[in-house]
Amino acid sequence: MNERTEKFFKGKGSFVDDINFPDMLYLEIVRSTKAHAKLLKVKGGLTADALDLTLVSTGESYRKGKNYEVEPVLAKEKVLYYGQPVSAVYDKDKYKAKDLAETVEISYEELKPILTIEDSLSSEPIHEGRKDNIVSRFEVGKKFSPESKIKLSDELFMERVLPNPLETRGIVAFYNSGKLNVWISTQSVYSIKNGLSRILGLNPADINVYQTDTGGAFGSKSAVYPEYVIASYLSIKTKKPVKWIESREEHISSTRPGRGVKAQLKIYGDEKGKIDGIEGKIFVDVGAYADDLSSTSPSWIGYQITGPYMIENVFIEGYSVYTNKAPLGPYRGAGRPEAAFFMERMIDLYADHLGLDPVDVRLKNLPEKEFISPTGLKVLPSKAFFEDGIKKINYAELKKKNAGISFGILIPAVDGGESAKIKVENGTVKVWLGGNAHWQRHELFVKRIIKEVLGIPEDKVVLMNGNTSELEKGIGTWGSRSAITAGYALYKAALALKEKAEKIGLKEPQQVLSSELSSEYYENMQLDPSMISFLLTAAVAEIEDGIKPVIKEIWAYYDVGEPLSLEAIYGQITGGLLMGVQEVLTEALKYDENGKPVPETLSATGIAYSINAPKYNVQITSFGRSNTPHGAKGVGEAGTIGAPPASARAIENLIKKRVNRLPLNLDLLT
Amino acid sequence: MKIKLNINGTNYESDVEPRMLLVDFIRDVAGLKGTHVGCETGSCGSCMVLLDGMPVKSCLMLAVQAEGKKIITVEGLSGKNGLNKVQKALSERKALQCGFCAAGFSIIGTWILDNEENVDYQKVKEDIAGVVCRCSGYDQIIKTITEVAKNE
Amino acid sequence: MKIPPNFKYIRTYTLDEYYEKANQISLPLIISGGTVAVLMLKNRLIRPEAVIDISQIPELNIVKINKDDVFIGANTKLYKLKDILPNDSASELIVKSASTVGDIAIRSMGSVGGNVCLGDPSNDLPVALTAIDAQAVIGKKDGITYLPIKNFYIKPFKTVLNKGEILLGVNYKMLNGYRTSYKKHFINFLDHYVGIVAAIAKIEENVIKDFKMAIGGEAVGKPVKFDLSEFSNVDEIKIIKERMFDYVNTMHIENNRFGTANYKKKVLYTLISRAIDEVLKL
Ligand SMILES: Cc1cc2nc3c(=O)[nH]c(=O)nc-3n(C[C@H](O)[C@H](O)[C@H](O)COP(=O)(O)OP(=O)(O)OC[C@H]3O[C@@H](n4cnc5c(N)ncnc54)[C@H](O)[C@@H]3O)c2cc1C
Ligand code: FES
Ligand code: FES
Repeated sequence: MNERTEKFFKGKGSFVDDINFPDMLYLEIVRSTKAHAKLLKVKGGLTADALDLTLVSTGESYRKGKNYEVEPVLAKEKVLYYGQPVSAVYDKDKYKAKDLAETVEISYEELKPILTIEDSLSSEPIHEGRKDNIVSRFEVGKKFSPESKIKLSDELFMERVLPNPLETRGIVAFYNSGKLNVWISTQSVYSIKNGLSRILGLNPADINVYQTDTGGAFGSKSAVYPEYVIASYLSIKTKKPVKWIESREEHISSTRPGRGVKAQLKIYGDEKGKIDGIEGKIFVDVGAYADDLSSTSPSWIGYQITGPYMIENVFIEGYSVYTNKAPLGPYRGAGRPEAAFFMERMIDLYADHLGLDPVDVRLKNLPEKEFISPTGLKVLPSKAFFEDGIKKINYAELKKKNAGISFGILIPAVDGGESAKIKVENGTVKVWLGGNAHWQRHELFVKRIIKEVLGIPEDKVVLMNGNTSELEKGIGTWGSRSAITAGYALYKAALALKEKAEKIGLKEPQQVLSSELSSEYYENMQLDPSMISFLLTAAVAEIEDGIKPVIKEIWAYYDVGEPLSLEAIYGQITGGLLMGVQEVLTEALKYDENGKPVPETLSATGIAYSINAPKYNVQITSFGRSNTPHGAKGVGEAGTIGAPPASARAIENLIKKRVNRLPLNLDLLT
Repeated sequence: MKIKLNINGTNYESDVEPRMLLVDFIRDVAGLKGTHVGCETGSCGSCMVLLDGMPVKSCLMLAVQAEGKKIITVEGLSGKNGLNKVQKALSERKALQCGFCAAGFSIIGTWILDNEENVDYQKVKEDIAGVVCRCSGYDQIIKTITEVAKNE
Repeated sequence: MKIPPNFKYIRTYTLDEYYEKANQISLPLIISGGTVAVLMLKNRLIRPEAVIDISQIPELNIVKINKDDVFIGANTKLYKLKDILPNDSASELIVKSASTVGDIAIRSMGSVGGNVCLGDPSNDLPVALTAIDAQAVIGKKDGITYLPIKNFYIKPFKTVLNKGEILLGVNYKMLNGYRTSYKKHFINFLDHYVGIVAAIAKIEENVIKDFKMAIGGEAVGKPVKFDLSEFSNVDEIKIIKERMFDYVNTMHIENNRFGTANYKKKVLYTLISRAIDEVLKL
């Protein structure tokens, strides 16, 4: 039996809100209730007058003088989005802290909020000193002048979506004997440690970050947020532990949502279904402030726009633009679902124009051998995979049910590699991974790798939560990277441990288990096309009573490389698929004309409940191992990539109207 | 005001403000951390407990409202160290991922087991409609609860 | 965190005690199950001087089944209705309606009184109760009044209840040999029901003897009632539907965040049409 899983059912998990210390202070953030305004007065609490810092960007590529606007920890002079932190109060009683928050006085001079990509491009800059609202521009691929017979264009849009992990964000910061200790619900203890050290100017050696049990993340728990800086600062100042737990309302207004992307695309091809090229513009609404990830998002989408296909001509212009909305962050898939949605919807448009079966057009455009796209994306040939899949999901039958189909790829974010540490102690093997686990799957692959290499039984292996004092260097868990990167590092660490053991004559697993050996390994990696997995997804829709669109069935035929644990992968895939389906139907973060988020509750954000779940048919397969010793590929984001274009198409097939905006505009049903 | 609540068979007496929410009493006064807060508005079921045998959302109740009632939390579903059938099955089948929703599904699953007749996949799917799992897509959860209920 | 403001908490055990307290306090808030009351408090939409808990008042906790009619005490939990109401057609419609409220937890916390008194157009029972011509039984210090449910609502979130008054329960005549239909349309990102339709009809020897219907939901506002008498001399489903559609067309339905007027109208047409088909198919 699995200890780690069991504890949750015993109510013995240790999520961030479960961490308490004597004398702890509860932090409440007072937030802007305007999307765009001058701050005339802020009276009460901790304000930018006392804590005047910005969130300098973290991550490998950090350089001074980035040409984008970084979010201040507390707003100064102006607020640029609804929900922006303006002041902070605290009390040892959390109810009193809430009451205190109400006593802070803020007065505003309202300015017109910029809320759409279109408005952003045509309006005065929201940041003083900039000439326009463009954060960054990119060109990917190469200009081309097509002579194709067929030219089709369309505008596609994906609304903002909230990550909405069931556990919101939260932190406990405790400055004690010269060290800042941080317990946090996170995807990466390292980005938190690096971020806090840079922003607060602390020596990295004086910060320890401990990952608490993490109740989901989906992209929202990787970055450093203002609240983390405020909690740490207050703990340093008061010498007391400071806890901040995000409310769902704050998650909706202030946690970084994803998507929010518009594309104007042209597809070129011949009359037989051979695609000649894809061209156009991609706009990303990064909200009020940017970071490395959001500012480069259009080029990342453009880079992978061709998916598994061989399309010789690609030219994409990308723009990130500012709006008076919460800053953008990654949401499960981060750029991959966008690229897949845009490309797949354009192929359907093209197939329809020619009157061809969309599957035939797709198959026809797959490469015969390794293909390098004009953007530099390298993909392996995949015809055999998709042809097989089409049979396995019985496309002929599904077609009768008006199914929508998508082909896709999943590029794992392996760059930078990952670390792992193994420590044998009192007859158990403890493992730390640089990528911080919050999925059971991590634990399963850890147990499996240790068993494979060291022969130690699975029940003697424990995966520990992320901890910077045990494992100093690492990256984090996102971009479907962990199985590949952390798995690889662990594999190497296990080999190193085995070698150490053999050197001192310990051969049997039992002997190793009673030793006190440890090993640590950092494996630097680069993307290799063998790590890219292929995804075939199909969806069957129904419009109940002509008024309610639902996805009835979802079929997934996914390449996961060497599967480390089928059971756990299954859940990750169905979870991703449901998110993808829901993004088409209802899930969205919309804003009203004043820039206030429309949803006020978790359900109003349109997330999926059990009754929304389609019938799943998931087939997990391996289309070759990746070039890593354990052969794994990514899987975490597969469903969110495959489901949206397939579901959108399935609905389109029924309503006979083009679906090019997500979520579905219900007016199309009238 | 002084109130006394019976949680998992134990009486907890405390002097609290009338505005104290039941979920805060359970977590902060009784120290039972298995009951979670996910949404605060009744839309996720992370805070679900049994009140006189019926599932309720403890984020939408004042602690004083529960006086004189029997409250069962995820910690009280079974004996000292064990798990009940639903919990055991959900855990063994790896139905969850992050585990944050474990209390909600344990409570509703147990209620289904004890109260519903002719349980099938569809019925479980509808019965758990007030509990959110953001990670799993629900399929394994529904299958597991259905199977356990069928084997009763 | 959403945390209520401070208030006094008063648990009342008798109606007299309730009347006394409710009149003494400048801004009281009744709480029965609390699903909505606690939420309003947490959102600090209301800052009552005192919360008056009525859940222990015996008169509100009874269900009385008489020869021809039924009284449901205001505190009756929604999930209990299916076990305690008789099996006549009017009760059947109420049970259908109540069983669609929220999820099991909301139904086991939520009361009939809370569902009726909030005045949210998305509430279920008001529509079903309007269709069967139920009455609100209103208590005040100097007596009890009976008011048809359809006159209970003034506008969204506003009922006729004044300070110091209380809903004791609802009362309705049993109907036998009717068919019932209850339809509503929910899209989860709206947190609201676009349209709700409750219908009940009696058909004998292929003749429509009686037909009652109510529509509600966000698109409609407070529940609206229709009777066979308004369709005099009509025995064709098609014509009844057309009349209902005409009515929907005269309604003022707004484009707003819950959807466009066009979509909402389509929802209403569809629900009405389905409900009529179910109860009137000869
Ligand atoms: C997640 C969620 C989902 C929901 N889904 C639905 C749904 O699908 N359909 C639906 O109809 N409702 C829904 N509701 C609303 C609500 O839960 C129900 O209407 C429930 O029946 C309210 O009953 P209560 O006892 O909890 O009310 P309370 O919260 O106790 O009271 C509600 C209001 O009525 C007043 N009140 C209560 N009793 C009386 C009385 N006897 N006399 C005078 N005033 C009184 C209170 O002062 C308060 O203003 C939902 C609520 C939540 C949180
Ligand atoms: S926290 Fe209570 S239902 Fe979500
Ligand atoms: S497993 Fe994460 S919310 Fe259910």
